[in-house]
Amino acid sequence: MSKKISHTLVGGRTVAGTGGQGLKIGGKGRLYWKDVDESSLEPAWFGDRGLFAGGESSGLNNEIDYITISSTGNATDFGDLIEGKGYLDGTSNGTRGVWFGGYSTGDKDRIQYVTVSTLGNATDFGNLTVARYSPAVVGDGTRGVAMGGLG
Amino acid sequence: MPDVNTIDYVTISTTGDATDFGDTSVTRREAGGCNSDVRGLMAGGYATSNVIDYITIATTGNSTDFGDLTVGRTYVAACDNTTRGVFGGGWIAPSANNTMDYVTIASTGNATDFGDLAFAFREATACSNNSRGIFAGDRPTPLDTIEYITIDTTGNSTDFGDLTVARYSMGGLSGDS
Repeated sequence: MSKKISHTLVGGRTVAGTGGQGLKIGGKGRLYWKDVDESSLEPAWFGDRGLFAGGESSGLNNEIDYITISSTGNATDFGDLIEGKGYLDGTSNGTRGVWFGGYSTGDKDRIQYVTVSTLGNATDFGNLTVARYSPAVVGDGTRGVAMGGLG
Repeated sequence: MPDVNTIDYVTISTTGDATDFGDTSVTRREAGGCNSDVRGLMAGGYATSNVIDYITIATTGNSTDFGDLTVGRTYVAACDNTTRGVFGGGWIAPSANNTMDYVTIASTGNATDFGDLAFAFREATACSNNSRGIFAGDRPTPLDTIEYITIDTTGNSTDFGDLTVARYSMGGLSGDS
């Protein structure tokens, strides 16, 4: 199970009779143990930064935008995909965001990634087994899986 | 170019080429994907499909029927809080659609009405944290609209803000800032 303790908790331990404890950073940088339970744990890929990559407008677009999901407001530039692409889909493990396929004038089998916490351009990851666009992409924080699409 | 039933996967923390996982139960494109930390769901797609099927992500194998969307549609955008998956918008020729419906990912069964998007999205993109689902962008006139919902309730979407560039059919994901 790909779970992590929320970002204010930096370590964890199990304690008999409780859901466990997390090591939390307190005021003045002191560490202390805090009781946690399952409801305070969140899947690793559930960060608060949302990324939107590529798409089409007057042509194929390579823009990557980001938002802070918990705060309303306009998107901000994050970086660029390797090439302009539409009809791609992505998932992450919290740290790394990966996009699969997409319609483009170049490689439709490209998989590319970014580090979600760091602004910058995408880097080549590898290739799909079948070049395609418009897949449905899912993930469990360890694997990213591309399902179907147009070859 | 044909629609494909291919399912392939990568290990996100590494790099390299994808590996065969299995086949989808129905060959289609332009479906929406959402997941728990166990299951991945694929919903809707061309042509106006109402099919929802699922895989167990940590294994390999073919997808299995989960249930049906409340209304079949192409270009479904999907988000989740790992418990509930929400499917928004889509294309029912000749019109865009503002439907949102949802399922409990750990069970199987048909989708239930969630509420309405603020307007009919044809080719939106979605992402989410563990509370909010986001739907962004659209066509035919490229739109910069971003809307949000609270996933564990039901209701209509609310304005969030604007994209830097109006466009449609992006790839959405979320991670740590």
